[in-house]
Amino acid sequence: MDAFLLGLESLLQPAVLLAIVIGSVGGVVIGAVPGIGPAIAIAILLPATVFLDDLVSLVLLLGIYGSSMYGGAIPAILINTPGTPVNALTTYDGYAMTRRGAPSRALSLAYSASFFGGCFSIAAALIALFAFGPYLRDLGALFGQRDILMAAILGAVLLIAAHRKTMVIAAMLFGFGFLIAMIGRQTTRKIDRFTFDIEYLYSGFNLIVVIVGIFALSQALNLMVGKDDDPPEARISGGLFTGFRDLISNKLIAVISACYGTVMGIIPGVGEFVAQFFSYSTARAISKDPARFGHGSPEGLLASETSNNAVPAAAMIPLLALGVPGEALTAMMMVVFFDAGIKPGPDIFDTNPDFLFSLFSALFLVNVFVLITLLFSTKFIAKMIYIPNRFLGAMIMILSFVGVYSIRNSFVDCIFAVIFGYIGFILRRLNWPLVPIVLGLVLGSIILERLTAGAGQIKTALDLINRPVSGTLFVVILMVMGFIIWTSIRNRRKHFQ
Amino acid sequence: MKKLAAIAALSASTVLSGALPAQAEYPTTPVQFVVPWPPGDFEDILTRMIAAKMEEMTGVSASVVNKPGGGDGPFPGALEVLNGPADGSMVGSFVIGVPIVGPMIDIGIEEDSFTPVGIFLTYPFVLAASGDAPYANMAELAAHAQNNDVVLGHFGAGLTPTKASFAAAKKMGFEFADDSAFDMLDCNTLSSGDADVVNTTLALIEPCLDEINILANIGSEPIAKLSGVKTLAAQSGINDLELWNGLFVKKGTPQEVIDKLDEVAAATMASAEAQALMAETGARVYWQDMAASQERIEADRAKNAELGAILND
Amino acid sequence: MRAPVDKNNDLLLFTEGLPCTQAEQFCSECPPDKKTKVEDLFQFSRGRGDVHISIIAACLALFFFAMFFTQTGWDNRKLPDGFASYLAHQFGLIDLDGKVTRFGRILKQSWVAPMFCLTVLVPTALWNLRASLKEHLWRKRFLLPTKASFEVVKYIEAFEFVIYFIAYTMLVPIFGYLLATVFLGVFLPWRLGYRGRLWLLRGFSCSVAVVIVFRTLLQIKTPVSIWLYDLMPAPLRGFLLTYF
Repeated sequence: MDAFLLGLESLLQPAVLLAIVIGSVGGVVIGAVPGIGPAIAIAILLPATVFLDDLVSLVLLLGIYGSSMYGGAIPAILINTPGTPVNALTTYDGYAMTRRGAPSRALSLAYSASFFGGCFSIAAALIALFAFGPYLRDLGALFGQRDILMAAILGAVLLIAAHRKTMVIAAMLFGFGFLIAMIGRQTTRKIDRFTFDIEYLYSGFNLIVVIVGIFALSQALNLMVGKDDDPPEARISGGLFTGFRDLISNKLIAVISACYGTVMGIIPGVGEFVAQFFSYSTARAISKDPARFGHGSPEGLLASETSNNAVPAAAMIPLLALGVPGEALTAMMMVVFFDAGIKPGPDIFDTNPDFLFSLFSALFLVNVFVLITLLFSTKFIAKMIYIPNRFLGAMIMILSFVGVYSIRNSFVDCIFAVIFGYIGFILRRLNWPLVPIVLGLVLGSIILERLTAGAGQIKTALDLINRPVSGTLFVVILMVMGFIIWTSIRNRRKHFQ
Repeated sequence: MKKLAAIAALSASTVLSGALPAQAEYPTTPVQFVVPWPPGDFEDILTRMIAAKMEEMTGVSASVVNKPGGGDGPFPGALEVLNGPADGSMVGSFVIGVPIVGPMIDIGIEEDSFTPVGIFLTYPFVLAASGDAPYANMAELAAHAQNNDVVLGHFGAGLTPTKASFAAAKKMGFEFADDSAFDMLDCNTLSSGDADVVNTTLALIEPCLDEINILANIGSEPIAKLSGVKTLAAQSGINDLELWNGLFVKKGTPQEVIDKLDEVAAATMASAEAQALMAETGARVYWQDMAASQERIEADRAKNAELGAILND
Repeated sequence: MRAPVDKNNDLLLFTEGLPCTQAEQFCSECPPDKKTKVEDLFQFSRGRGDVHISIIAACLALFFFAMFFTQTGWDNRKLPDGFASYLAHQFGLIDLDGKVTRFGRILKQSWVAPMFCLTVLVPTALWNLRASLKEHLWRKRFLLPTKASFEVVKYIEAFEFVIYFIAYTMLVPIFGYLLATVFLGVFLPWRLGYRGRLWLLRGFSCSVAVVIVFRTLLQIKTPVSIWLYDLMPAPLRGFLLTYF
């Protein structure tokens, strides 16, 4: 209980509260504007957070992540354009409701569903961490270098498996990301990989340079080269409180969707898309009125919005408990953890229990603040949708410089950031997934580090897997790989159309 | 009209120069203290105290930046300071390995690349094993290692404490079956079995101090907190090379920068906070100024060469 | 999946009798939106330019594979003699006499991780190339359009903005962060076609806001030796260096 009070104390500082406010409002705006998403914002702000206090930076980034999905629902509902890709399913029933003249009902339903989803997963995470936390500490002895190595490999395999139709491309891009992670020279360990004797490459590629390039600069280029949309005018009239009633009358679907979101968030590599689709399908299957799905069914809207907001808090769990990030956004936040001196891993409960509590409480406050703000200022935020794309791209480009230069005061870093931006731009135009490169870099460096640290105790090859955790994870890896191979053989039977 | 303009200009410049510190006096720009290790350890804590004191004493923003080098130890962070400007805006908080081992590996650090500002910390570096290991001191470890595999965990093969451990093993007639470099060595490393014996600082294994066996401490004197633990030098016959941490600036930094940093750091080390750290943790906190540090570095170079000779025999 | 939508007459869709059937899992009465087509999220079709980029990716992968033997410490490898029997011993198949090298000592060597990476990278790159070529040849066979010239034009257009970014990076040490950012913030919208004083003002104010938030307030690091600031008198120089 000391942890509780200590956590509360660090939460109620002005800087943290300010971060909650900026994170929530900023996140909503970022989510609402269809050209930018939380990935870009976090990529740009990440280097800036070095200059801020650790809890403040994490709350800011997490706030943006958690509230962007609230904002993303606004254009999805009003103009049939998802503000962030994870709000895609919201367009189905949300815009249909708008066309029937009930945009405020759709919006309020989306907000209350998101709020419910967010709070559900925060509560679940807190309960899990605090109920199982003490046991996790004891279990900490089970998690050595080799076990985390297996967890990272499992994360990689799950990530690739999650890209169902683009598995080969995802695997190839993961390989490239891993390759980038490996470039560097460590003379004390007699390690020299692919440096070609170029001095800049001795310290390898910095994660932030790659992230800012691949997420932010690529989108900037994409927007600047594309066209401006001409979104139709959207009018919101009426109160925004009616949605709560819809939420309460569809409790079951709300809870089921929130569970999907939480579980999918915990499993590395899965994320909001799959959560949304599963919960939408289930909601439709158990609904009393399935024909209405796609035509303005409140259940459909509820299902998609609840599940995608349940993911952020849950996605922090594998990062906090194992130190292995499950997806790109939490991977970026891992950098902040290291800067803050908080070592994510099984003994985080031992070393920083108050921090855990502050983090999740801050996330809860973000949700509350966002809900209140949105209930009163949706009209204003809806105006943000109309920022023209190409102008947005120009602004993203300006913002990207800020972060990249301040990492190592290096001009060459900026050049490489824009090179990665160009590569990301090409990938976007081809519709190839971007996340595997970043996760290849992050998980790759984890794999490298754990392999060399754990190699001391490896006498025979079987030592890699003869521990309880690494053995189990290895079996799961084999099962997932088997599944991948089986589905790709099955898909080959169906010729492409 | 001209007179008015002249008065206006004069008062403006007076106001400006009154509001800002004069150009010549250091520091005028924000100061960054580079700690080439992950946060949390002694040098990090003390360097943060120095940064806070600097802010207090000069009003300029001073911050600590951690730049861990992973398996490469402090060298990447040190190289960053080396590649930074020589005007006191980047100050390194380095261990003995940087000025002594740095010039010996081919990474761009020379013997005179850095000028010491002063040395302020001796780490309570120890060799520790988990509580259920069948050895409680170096002699027992030597006996056990004759027929069993013992794996050493350390912070990097070129670092002084690692070399001291290997030299001690050689002198005592045994060999570690294998070794690994880690970024962080703490209680979890021992309890999860990632290494049988670890070479780490006391702060990192503080939480489980009661459950583990400390085999020896690496330094010139035993640590008061650990009763019954003798120094590695006493148990194995090697020299008592200590692991210390000091403030360094790039060669060519003006003397007034060094003097100012000296002032701030000396005040920090004398403060109640720093002394309390010493009493609680077994680290030795003191301040040796530039001249004394330079002498000490030279003496330690010789001791390091001795250890190297043992290892290469 | 559905009948094509007549954009001008989409009031027609405002009825219950829609082409959206129960059999389709995900469908909606709303016209498919321009940015993310939901059905596309789980489907993937190779676009134009895919073949070219797949070839480049495969070449890159093979390049790294070729460089593996010289650039990763493979030439300095320390492997025990009789590697086949060593491997068999490792997996518990046979017993070896004498001192057996610990597997960890091999794993720690610098070339091991690149080897694992390349065993993932090279086959997938080649497999992707094969799939891409197959699709490309199929499209050619059915006389579907395969020219990638539109894409290439877009790549060149993007490259122009890359040049602008690099130029901006080079301007910062000359004119200082504030001025360089304002230049870019006003030039880029102008280049993108936003004319008129209002747009200039918007670009200007956004870039000034960025500078104030990140440089003045958060004190992000920017280059320390700036030609323009060096020309200023001493107190002003310090002020500008710290806050702009």
